[in-house]
Amino acid sequence: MMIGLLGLGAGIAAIAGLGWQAPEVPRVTISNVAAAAGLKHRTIYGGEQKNKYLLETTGCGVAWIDFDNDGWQDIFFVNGTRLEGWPKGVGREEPPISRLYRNNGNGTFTDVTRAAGVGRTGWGQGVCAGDFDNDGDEDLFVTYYGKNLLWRNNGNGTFTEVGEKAGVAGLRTRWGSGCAFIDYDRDGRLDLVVANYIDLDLKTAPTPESGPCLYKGLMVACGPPGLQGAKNILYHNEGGGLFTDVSAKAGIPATSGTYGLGVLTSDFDNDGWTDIYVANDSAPATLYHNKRDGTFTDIAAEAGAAYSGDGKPQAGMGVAAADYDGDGWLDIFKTNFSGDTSTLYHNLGTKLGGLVFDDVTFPSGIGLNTRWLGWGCGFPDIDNDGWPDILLVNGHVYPEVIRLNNEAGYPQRKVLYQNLRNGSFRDITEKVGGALIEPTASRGAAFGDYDNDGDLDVVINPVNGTPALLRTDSETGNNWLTVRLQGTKSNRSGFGARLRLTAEGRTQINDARSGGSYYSQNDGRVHFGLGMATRVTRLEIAWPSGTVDTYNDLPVNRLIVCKEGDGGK
Amino acid sequence: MVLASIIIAITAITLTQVPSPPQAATSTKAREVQELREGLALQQQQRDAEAIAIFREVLRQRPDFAEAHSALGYSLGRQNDFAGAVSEFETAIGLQPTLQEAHFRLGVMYWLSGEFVRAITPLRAAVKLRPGHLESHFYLGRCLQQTGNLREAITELRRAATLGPKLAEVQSALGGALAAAEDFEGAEASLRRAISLRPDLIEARNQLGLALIEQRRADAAVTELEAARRLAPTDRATLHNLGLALMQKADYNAAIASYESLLRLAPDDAEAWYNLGLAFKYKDDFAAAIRAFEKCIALQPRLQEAHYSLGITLLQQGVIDKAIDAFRGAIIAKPDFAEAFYLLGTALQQKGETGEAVASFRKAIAIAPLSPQYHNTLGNALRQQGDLAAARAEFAEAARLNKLKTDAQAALFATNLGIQRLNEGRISEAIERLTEALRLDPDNATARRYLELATRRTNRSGKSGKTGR
Repeated sequence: MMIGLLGLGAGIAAIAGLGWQAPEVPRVTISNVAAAAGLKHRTIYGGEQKNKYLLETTGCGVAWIDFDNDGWQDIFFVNGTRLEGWPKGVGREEPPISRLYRNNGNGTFTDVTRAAGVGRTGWGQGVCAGDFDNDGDEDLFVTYYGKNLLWRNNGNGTFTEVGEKAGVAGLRTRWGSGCAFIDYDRDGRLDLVVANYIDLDLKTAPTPESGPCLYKGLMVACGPPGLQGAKNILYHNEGGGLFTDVSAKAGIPATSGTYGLGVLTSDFDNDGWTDIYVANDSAPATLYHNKRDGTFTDIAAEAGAAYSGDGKPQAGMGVAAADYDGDGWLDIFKTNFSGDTSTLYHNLGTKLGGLVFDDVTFPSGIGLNTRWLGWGCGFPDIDNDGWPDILLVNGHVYPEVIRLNNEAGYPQRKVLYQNLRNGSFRDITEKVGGALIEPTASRGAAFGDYDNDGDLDVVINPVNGTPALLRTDSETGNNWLTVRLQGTKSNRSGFGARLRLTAEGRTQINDARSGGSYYSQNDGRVHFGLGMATRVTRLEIAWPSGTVDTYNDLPVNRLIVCKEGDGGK
Repeated sequence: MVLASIIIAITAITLTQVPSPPQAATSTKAREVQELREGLALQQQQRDAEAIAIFREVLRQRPDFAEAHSALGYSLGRQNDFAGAVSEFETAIGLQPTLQEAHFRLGVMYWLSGEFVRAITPLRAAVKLRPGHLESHFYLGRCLQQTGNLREAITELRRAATLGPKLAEVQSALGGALAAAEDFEGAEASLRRAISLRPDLIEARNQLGLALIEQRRADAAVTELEAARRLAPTDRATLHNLGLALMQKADYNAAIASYESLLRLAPDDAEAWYNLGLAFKYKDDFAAAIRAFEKCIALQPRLQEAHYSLGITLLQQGVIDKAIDAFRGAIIAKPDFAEAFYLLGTALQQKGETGEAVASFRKAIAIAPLSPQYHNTLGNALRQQGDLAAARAEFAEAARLNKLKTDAQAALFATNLGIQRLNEGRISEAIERLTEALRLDPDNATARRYLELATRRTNRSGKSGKTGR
């Protein structure tokens, strides 16, 4: 887009003229503390050396969820299985199950899966969290190749699976992928959007040999091109624990995008209504614009957010949103296949008559990396300077690539881009080093502050490996504020609320949201880095109900809980 | 270099068989024949200058002596006087149209000078005059291959291979032609036969390596080409091809090492600089890639791929103005280069020159209307100009074209699975898959053929079932 790029270019020149200097590499340390923290289970997903079907490649998501409401973020890991299954019997290995870890508040976690009753096996995929029944505790929705599960939090440390009863289990033949709770009609109840990947029938699916399907000379799992793409689903929350599939009525199937994976919900056009962005694999991405009447229209192509800047569909995996340049519009980051770049879409807003994004991947410096195959991603303000950075986790799709002398390999390092505060980013992965360099066959990644120390940590769910918990320790001296929302008229989780924070004359925005990244759920609290600001001048929360709460002159370096309607009191 | 030595070897063998004594009706003629034989003896000893003098003397005495013209032409050819040689062969043919050796030699002379189309007529005459002449079939086959007539080329080379089953060069040429016709199985068999006959035949190993690369069997290609490199460490073609195989294998460091070895031998090999640049680009070493592409362009300004790849690398780095220059360079080198117009448009759009971008996208579409990304980028530019209706039309066309591509892929899967089921005797499943393939791609001839076969089998088993009851 001309205007965006010209604006950006002029901006860089002007700042440079005033003696602008790139910020120093932040003094942060990132360590993998998973084992010491007690996260020791193994995620199982498909064959370790060779995959017959694409089903064995997608991996699992992970969620930050404070399921016991103690103020500490707990972790839910989705788990998978193998094609050959896990035969039952004496002496046989236990099948892999999803895991729930309670945060002990001292840097360690306890596996409470069995006590909580959430240990299910199967081809687990994505996870999202939200208080769908507005009872004050967070529930979980987990997608599967097979029937999806809705875990209602009983409020006593246990969960009850109510997916079938609630009407969101779906069909056994369906391949659920990314998901998010969203109050799309602002009725105060969380609805549910579920992406679906492929209508996969293993009886007729091509194998690497029958396809035949080759990647750099290697026989690999076929697809998704050539396989039947699946349709996304929108469930409306009717209350009373019941959902209705309103996909057709809402216009959800009317998109040229298919093979949905990551799901992101945000108000991209600043109209107060939450939109939905879906990263599609090998297909144009979908941007469901909320028409405020219970229906959506896919505007991704005409908004410039469907394809790469050169008009090609990309293998979208993970998605994240943030206002990285502070212009008041939420931008989109999307991870893609190796040999391609991740994509950064700069939101130009609606001044051209409709919502318009500009692919700034190359001018922003994101386009320099083409070796990594990205999955989970986020915009964590890793150094709390008030400018969202970008972190993505990587790993190749095909385990067969270990036979290639390819530097990127099957397990891959992460990438951390520092926001240079001028619309561009710098890859500082090797400068920060540590756990970022460790290769992992990563899939899901969720961002949150598990130790409540004010900097954002990352939990990663790999395929056929043990989790990583990347703890960030900062020596920047920068300040922060974390906001936990509690809706009253609006949904209890506060999802869809727009937060607008001003400190030292600079305003940042973000939305409270469910889902995001790849198949994962970030910390539901909204985190702001504040740089050296010692007070927050103003925090405005626009709730989905229409209520606007305003808080003035807030202290920093703390978590605040904002209950709808209490603003300014 | 290897090829040239093969040609000379084969042609020399032919010459030992050529001098059939002319019908000597008079003593003068007998003397001339005797002198011709003396000249041929010198020719066989590589003493062409002396032989030429004798042949010229014979022809002074008897200008219509066709065999002498042919012999003189051969020696002139060996002295690199191609024009003189051609003239003598043509004179010989004019005097004696049935003189097979003159046709053959004229064809070989054209072959050596790269005039493959002109070579075909005399070589066809040579084959017609002397069916079963191995060398004539061989060269005719090679010329036909060079001119793109693969079907006839393979026929001629197969005939040559039948006549000389132990000739590694012939097997190698046949393998090359089969590979060009995408009969990789046949190509591999011929090339492996050639290598077993002559393990040091680098050309065959290179052909095999290339055939394996075409089949995306990078590991096997690297094995063959490494073997070739051990035999001929300084063979440029081998180092080129090895680099290609290593790139296909995504072993970029090894590919870079191969191209750097090649460039130490031939610093002005533009294609090697280009491939080196690609290897650097694939490993995200942009500065080194740009240096290599620029070096390539300096050596060979008309190599459009180098301009194009340089443009992409610059675009990737956000160096828009230089990228625009590079894409324009690609278009100068190849005025119908659709991809270059398309990326030029992308770069212009990034620079804010939307009008020029639209024009560039339209040129790309005029050249290659079926590329969905061209329509998408044009749509973006039109939207930017405020023409939303035209933009939507382009987006819709892109979506339609994308769907055609994915449907064709799905049809391929369904066809292959259908064939597999048919081979397993699971006829109803085969019919189901093949029908699905035709629904997705009604022009899929393979699916149609196998569906007919499956249906016939169903009918047969139905009839036999009735008889049985």
